[in-house]
Amino acid sequence: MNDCQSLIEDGFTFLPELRPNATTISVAESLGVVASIPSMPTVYAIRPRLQHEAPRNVYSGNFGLGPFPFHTDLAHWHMPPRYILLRCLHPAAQVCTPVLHQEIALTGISSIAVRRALYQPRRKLDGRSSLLRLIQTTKATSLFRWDDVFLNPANEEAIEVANRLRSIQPERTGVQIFLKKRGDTLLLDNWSVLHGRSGVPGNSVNRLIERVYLTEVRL
Amino acid sequence: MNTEKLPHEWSKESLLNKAQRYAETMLKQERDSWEFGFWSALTLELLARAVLAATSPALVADNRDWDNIYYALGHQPTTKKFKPKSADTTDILVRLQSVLPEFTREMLSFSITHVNRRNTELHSGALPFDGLGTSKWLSMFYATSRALLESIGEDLPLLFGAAEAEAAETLLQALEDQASKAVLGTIKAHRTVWEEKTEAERKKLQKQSETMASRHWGHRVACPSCSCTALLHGTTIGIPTQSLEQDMIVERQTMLPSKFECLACGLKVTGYSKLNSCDLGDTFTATFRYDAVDYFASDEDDESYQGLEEDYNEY
Repeated sequence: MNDCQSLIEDGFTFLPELRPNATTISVAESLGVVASIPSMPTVYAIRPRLQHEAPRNVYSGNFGLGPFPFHTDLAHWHMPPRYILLRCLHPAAQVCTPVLHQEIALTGISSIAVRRALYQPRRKLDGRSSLLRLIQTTKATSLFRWDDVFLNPANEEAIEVANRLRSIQPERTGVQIFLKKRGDTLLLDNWSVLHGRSGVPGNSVNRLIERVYLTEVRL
Repeated sequence: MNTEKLPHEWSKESLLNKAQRYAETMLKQERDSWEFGFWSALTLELLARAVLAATSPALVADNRDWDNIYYALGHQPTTKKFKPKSADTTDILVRLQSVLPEFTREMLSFSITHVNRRNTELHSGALPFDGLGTSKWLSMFYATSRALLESIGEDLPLLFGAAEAEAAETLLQALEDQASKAVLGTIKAHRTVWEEKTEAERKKLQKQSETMASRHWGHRVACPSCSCTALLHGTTIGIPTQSLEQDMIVERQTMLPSKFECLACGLKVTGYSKLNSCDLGDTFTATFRYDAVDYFASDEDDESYQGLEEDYNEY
């Protein structure tokens, strides 16, 4: 299966040691259209942080060096970025990025519960609250969102789904991806797969991943 | 596709998600409580807005101020102290009837009545939902909701859950059966009266109805009661098509049946669901022929007679 097919069917593709000496932005631009989000740096450096060193509006501020639960990025936004590019600059062979397709994650939940599940961001955005559907469909596409920290269930079906998704253990479920060499690049479809992070052992705190959001991908 | 923090407050998604919230609140009430009816009216209002917004949020805007349309299109008007205003619910419903063939005149009438109950509830001391038995409105509420939801590719279970949707389907089936029985009863009664007439009377009435049932006034069909030629009237659905045929502009408009009348036996049937239950529910095409002058000309000719009374022979 080629990279494009893998991205479409599995929701992710792993590109080992992709142009290890190039900048992340140039790699990202070669793979697609970089998202320009006013409130965020285009290339964001992700380093493990102790819980008390990070604010509570980021995952490190909630989980520190512990495992990050499965989630999609910016799930509390109406339209989260479509693709996430995670590129390894300083590897940590023992830290894993588990990836799980939403179809597998939602197995066992009735389709009507999935369709009806509504969530609200835990905090207002720009002074406004909104109701967000777990799976938001348009004629052209389907957008799946999940974040147990940044989203609150707004109805019974959402609680049912949340209970199911919370019970999934990332380290035991899904595909375990290790970004263990400089240039290792993981491209995720943020609208169809969940991703997490395993706990970070003491000898891996120098791990450095750069993240770029893409609106389109060209593989 | 660009990232967006917040949905537009007039987007289909926002309105539909809120309609679902209202439907969930409605279903938590006792069926015979005023709150059940009240929340159903709010659900219907939001659902109607969501369906119109599915075509474009601009259709939900109060178009008396262009800033509202500008806002609906995702821009921020520069007018000082601008507050976005959407169209009144009655306007929303009337617009829906124009753009959505499935939203029949019956559904429009029901929706306006039901939404007006909500207005009365909120703006007066009257109690329009108290004592309003569900048998009077719930079936039509679900029929209307179903038509609206299906027009945007959704269904009753999305808004009301699987269990309630199943109960709703039972109500809808009963509504259709009831309409069907009522109409068939009326047809049978008219047929009995028709058959009791003398042959001479029947021939005379048949000839009259044949003459009066001109294509100019409606669609000619066979009466289900007496088999004479009768007229079916309809409401327009979709946009008309034009073609040029032998120097004439021919405009064809699809019509959804709304009213039937037979001048021979006197049978009258009003409302699409009743017409459908006696096999008069098929759409028909109204054809209009114009010559190019009539079709494209303005009323300039009439301007030369302005100020004059109507033409009369001298008196």
